Amino acid sequence: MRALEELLQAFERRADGRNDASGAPLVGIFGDGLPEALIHAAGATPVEVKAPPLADATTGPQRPEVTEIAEPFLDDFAARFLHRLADGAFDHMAMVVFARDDVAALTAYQYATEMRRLGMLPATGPRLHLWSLLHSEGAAAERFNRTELDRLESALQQVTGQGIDTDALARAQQQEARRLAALARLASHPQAFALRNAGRWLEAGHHANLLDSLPAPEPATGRRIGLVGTACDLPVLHQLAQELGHVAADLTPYGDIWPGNHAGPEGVGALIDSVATHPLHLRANPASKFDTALADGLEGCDLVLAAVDRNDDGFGWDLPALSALCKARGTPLVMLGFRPFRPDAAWLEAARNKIAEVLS
Amino acid sequence: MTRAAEAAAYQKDWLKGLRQQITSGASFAFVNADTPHEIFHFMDMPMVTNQWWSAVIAAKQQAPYFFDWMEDEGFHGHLPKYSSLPLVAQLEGDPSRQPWGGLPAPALLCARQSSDEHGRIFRRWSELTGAPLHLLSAPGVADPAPNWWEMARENWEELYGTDRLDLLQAEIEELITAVEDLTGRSFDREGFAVYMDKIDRMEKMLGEVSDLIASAPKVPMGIAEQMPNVMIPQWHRGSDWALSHVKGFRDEVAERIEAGHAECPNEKIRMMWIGAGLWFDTSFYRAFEETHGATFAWSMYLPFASDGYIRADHGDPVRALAARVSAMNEQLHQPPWVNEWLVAQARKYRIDVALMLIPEHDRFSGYGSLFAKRALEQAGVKVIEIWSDMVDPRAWDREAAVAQVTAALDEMEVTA
Repeated sequence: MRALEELLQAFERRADGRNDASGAPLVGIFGDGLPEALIHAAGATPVEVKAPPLADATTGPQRPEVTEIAEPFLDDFAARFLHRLADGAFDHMAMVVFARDDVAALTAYQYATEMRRLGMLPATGPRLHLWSLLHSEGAAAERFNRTELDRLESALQQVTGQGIDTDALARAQQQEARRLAALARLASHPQAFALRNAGRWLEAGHHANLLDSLPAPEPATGRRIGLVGTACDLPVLHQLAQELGHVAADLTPYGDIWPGNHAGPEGVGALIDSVATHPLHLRANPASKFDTALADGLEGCDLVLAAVDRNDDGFGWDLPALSALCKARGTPLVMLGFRPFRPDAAWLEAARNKIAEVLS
Repeated sequence: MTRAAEAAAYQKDWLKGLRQQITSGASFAFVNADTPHEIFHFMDMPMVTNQWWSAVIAAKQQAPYFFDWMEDEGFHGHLPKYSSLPLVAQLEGDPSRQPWGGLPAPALLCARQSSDEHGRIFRRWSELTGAPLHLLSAPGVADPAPNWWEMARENWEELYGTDRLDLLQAEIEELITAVEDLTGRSFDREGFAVYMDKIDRMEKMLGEVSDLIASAPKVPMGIAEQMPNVMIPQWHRGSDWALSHVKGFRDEVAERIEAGHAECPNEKIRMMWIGAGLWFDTSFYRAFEETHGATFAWSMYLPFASDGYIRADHGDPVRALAARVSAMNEQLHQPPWVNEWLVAQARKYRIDVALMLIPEHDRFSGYGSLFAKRALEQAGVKVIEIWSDMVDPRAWDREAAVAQVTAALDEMEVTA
């Protein structure tokens, strides 16, 4: 299979397409905040489970036991995950780890565990684990994060029979570094979003190999566009941006941040600290770090596109300040409003009109 | 004068004093409801609670203006309202629209990251006022005990987890240092133990009131009257006035029961109000007494006083305080805590019908609602969903809500 085809297929099939020929147990990860290298270092294979396969274009499986307890305004990622969990989509996994600080993960974890407790879901299926890494600084947070690491290692040990091996971690981090270098070379690729996120469902070294085999893209031209807002697992904003120029900074949760936020320094403790103190996180503490990271990330952009989902609790508080920042810099900011979970042609057309209006 | 009126009068006087203190330049803290208020009270630092101030603005019917303004300014309409109304009012910039002519800049801000918005809302407050922000962590609870209220009073170390308590205790210690620096006063640990003991005594008395109302043949005091009797002392918990008031409240309820008083003499249906108060329309609570003999016996504020606040100090009152705060809000909203507690409360209070406030755009409060609904229905309680916000009345249609509840109650009468 050609590299591009394999990458795009991984992006489209997502967790459904993830297998590991080595037979290592699969560990699902819901939400950013847990370095994939840690899972590798414990002898397991990480798989992103938050973003549903693109084959579930409209709703995916719908299970009545989930519909009964899922409020209509439940986060779409959480709702999709719960329906798929009830439908057995993750039965082949040994464990699913939920990164608490991810916008949807705590709810997904609580609903899944409660459904199991109530007998609404069978007790079989993957072990469910909550990873409460704090995105905070200071000695108390650091101590807490170490205890979370111990809890995670203990849980991983029960599914893989081994703890986190430091040599294996170093090897996994080397692969992460290779992947980052390969991604940097392809930053201006028109399908950069899919090529990068495909790695959520590929082993890092293999991901790097596939990326390295692609021809170098043309240098980016046209407007430098920044993307901000809540999590979207589709290249919708990229598609809009490419009609006007190129994406210079994607600061959304499925944007440029991954996998760099998980490719920290060597050693378990240093790696965890690096994730915990990453500034571009809505729950970063001190809270001012996020504003600074956002402002720095958008430096040099000629246009900024902002979109949020209907469940946004956090990012929306930053929009007027962002608007003021852009105004001060003379950068047009287009508020695209609420972006549906799977935007249709009408939404895209309305978005184009809003952009045209601001740029006119 | 009833005890509730006395409480309201006390609060009014206290507010005058607080306003005077604040407007004359005294340092004050602006904090969320689920933060350790005890530190500010004990250190005699004036404090304004975000959600209380939100309810005050809403009760003065000023929320619609501010929320319209908020959307005009570029904040989107699905952002949570309860915790943000004070910020929005402050950002709007015309203090004359606010009660007291608005708040001056606080000296300290404090919020718990129990929900994603709190860090961002308080960040904006900090940016607006220059006040330092203390964000307390709120890690998830991996294995929450469903019967939390049975463990929380004594066995809280096991319930909330040593690692979580170590974390929050350390963060509270940092807060204490900050308050010491601001007030110039030292934190007296022995005195704090005495103060915490007084709070426990007060909450135990409120627990007695809850037991009295739950077991009374008919509801002796409706929730509109319960709420000020509970919440005003709760804002002043541990003070001499609060203890004295709660004792009087308990005696008043006991006397009413002894005298055979019924808030709704025609009582046929006992109801519970699930969720925060409907602050802009509190008369709604009595809308079904005459027509259906349906009266509200329960709102969370009274029973939560004992279950949510009493924490044996085990020789370490700051740690006991961490235990009180550690999952304060989560217990009221997240499964399995909320559903199991509501069922236990419904049984205790002999509840027939639950009106459940579901705020779509306040997801921390709205999530978990359908688990609670399912659990209550399985326990034989009829659940009526009220889709509204606690402080934003713009989509509130009182007539429609009354019609909805009326239809459900009519149906019960037919079935009976």
